Amino acid sequence: MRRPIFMPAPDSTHDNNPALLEVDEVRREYDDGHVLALRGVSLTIRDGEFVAIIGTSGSGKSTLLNLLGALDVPDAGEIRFRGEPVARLADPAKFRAQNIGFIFQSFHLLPTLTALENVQVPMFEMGWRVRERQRRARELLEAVDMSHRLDHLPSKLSGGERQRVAIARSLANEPSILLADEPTGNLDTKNSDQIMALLRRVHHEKKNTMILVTHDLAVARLADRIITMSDGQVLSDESNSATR
Amino acid sequence: MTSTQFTLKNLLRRPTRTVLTVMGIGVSIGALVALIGLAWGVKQSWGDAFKVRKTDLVVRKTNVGFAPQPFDEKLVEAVRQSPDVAEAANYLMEILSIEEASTIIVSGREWGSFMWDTLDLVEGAMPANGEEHSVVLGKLAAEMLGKKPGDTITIEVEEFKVTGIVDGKAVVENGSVILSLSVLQRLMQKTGQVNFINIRLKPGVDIEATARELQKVATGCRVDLPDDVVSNNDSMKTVDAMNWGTSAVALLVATFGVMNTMFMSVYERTREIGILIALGWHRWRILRMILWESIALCFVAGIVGIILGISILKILVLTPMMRGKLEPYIGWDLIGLALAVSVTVGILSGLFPALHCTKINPSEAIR
Repeated sequence: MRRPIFMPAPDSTHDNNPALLEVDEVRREYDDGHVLALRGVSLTIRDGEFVAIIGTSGSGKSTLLNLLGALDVPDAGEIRFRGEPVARLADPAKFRAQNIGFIFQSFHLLPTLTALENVQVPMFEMGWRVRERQRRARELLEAVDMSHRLDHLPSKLSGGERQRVAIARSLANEPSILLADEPTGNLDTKNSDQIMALLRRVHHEKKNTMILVTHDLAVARLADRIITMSDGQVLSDESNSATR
Repeated sequence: MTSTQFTLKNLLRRPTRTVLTVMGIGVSIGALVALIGLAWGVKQSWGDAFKVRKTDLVVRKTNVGFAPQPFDEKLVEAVRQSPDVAEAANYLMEILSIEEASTIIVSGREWGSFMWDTLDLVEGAMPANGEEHSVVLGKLAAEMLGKKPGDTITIEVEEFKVTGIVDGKAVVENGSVILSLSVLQRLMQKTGQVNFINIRLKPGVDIEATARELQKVATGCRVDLPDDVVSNNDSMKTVDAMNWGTSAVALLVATFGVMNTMFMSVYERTREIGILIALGWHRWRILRMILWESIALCFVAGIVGIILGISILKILVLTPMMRGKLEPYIGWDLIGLALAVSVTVGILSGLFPALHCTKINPSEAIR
C-alpha cells in the first residue's frame, strides 16, 4: 500500500472554507505599459481547493501565478493571503518558504545537486538540522516513488523523474499552497498522466491548496475548479463537477 | 547537505575556471609572500648578525644605499667615554664583486675587538695580526668563492691570503669575507673612516636610555637597537615601499580577476539564483553564499600562493645575488598575513557579484 506523504486532513467542501487567496482588481504591465499582462483580475481561492487556470500563451496565467507566489508585485490592485495584503509582507522570502511550493514546467532542479540534495534546498530557510533535512528529503522522495534515484543528478533522470523530484521539493516545507506552472508541459502523455495522478494524490492526502496553470484542457479537467483566462482577464470561473 | 557542501559544489562545477582563478590569485599571493619574506628576511638576517656579535647598540648613518655612508672613526672614542658602554668597536662594511661572486659582503673589523671573538674557527687559522694582508672567510663565502685556507683571493686589485674559514652563526656573518679594519680601509682608500660602531653595554644598563644619551654624542649619525638597524635604513624603507606597492598592484589585478570569475559564475546562474529566491531563500543567504564561494576560492588560492611564495624564496636564496646575504623569513605571521590578504581579496571581489544577486528578479530569472 502506498504510504501517504502527509496524514490526510478531514474531508470538507471547499465552498465553506475560508478565503486563502483573494485577488482584487490586479493589473500588471510590462515594457512601460506597452504590454498589459493582467487587466484587472479578481478572484478568490479557498483553502484546500484544486484550481486549474487555463488559457492560451500570453493570456496572463503565468503572470498571475507569479503574483500569487509573491515572486512579482502587481502594478495596481491587491492580493491578500488569509486577509493580509501580500505586498505589505515584511518578509516575502519567509512567506514563500513557509507557505508556497513551486512546481515548474522546466523542473528547475539545480544541476549540481543530487535528487536528495535538491529536495533539501527549500529547507535551508526552516532552520532544521542537516539530519532532519536529509530524513525529510528521503521520505518525500520515497513518497513520490524516487527512493531508487536519491543520489542521481538531474541530468541522469528522465523528464518524469525530474518532475517527481520537483514535486517532492515543492512539498519540502509542508506549504499550504502548491503553485504548478505547466507541470506536464515538457512530458509525454504517459509521464504526464503519472505526474497528474501524483499531484491529485498529494492534494488528496495533504488537502493543501493547489493552483495549476496549463494550456491543456485534459489536464485542467482533473481540477475541482477551472478558471479560463484570455488577454489578461478572467473569461470564466467554473466548478468542475466531474471531480466531485 | 550543508551550506559548505553547496558552496563547494558550485565552485567545482567549472573546475578549469576555478583552477585557473586559483592559480591567478595564487601567483599574486605567492609574489606577496616572496617579496615580503625577502624584505623581512633581510631585516632578520642583519639583525641576527648584530645579535650574534652580542651588540647592544649600533651607530651608523641612515643614508640611501645598503652600506651606510662612512663617518670618522674617532667617534668611537666619544662613545667609549660613556659610563654605560662596556666595549665599542669600529666596523667598515662594503659590498663588492669578488672573483666568481657577483656581490659579497666584505667586513673590516677593528683588530682585537669583540667582533672577532664570536667567530668560531672551522678550518685554518685567524690572521696573525691586524696588519696582515689576509682574510678569513665565512662558511658560505668559502663555498661561494670555492676557496680553502692557503688559497688567495683578489679583492679589487689586491691579492689576499685566505688563512681560515669561520662559522659566524648567522647567515650574514657566514656569507662575509672578513679582514682587519685597517687593511680594508687602506684597500678602499677610506683611511680613518668606518660605517658602523658596534657597542656592547655593561650588564643591567637601560639600553634605550643609553641610546638616547649616545645620540647626543653621535652627531650626524643614528644610534639604534640591532633590530632597528635595517628597518630604519632609508634604502630598506624604499625597498619595503616598493615591495608593498608591487604586491598591492598584483593583488588589485587578482581582485579584478576573481571579481570577473564571480560575475561570470553569477550571470551563468541567474536562473538558479531566481529558483533559490522562488524556493524561499532570503536574499542575504544568497549574498552570503556568493561571498563564501569567493572567500573559499581565495582561501585555497592563498594556500597555493603561500606554497608558491615559500618555494620562490627557497630558490631565490640559492642565487648568487642573494646567497650569504639573507635567510628568507618564513614565519607564521607571514603565513597569517598572506591568508588574511587572501580572505580580504575574497570579500572585496565577491561583494559586488553578491550584491548583484540580491537584485535578481525571480519571475524574470525563471522565465
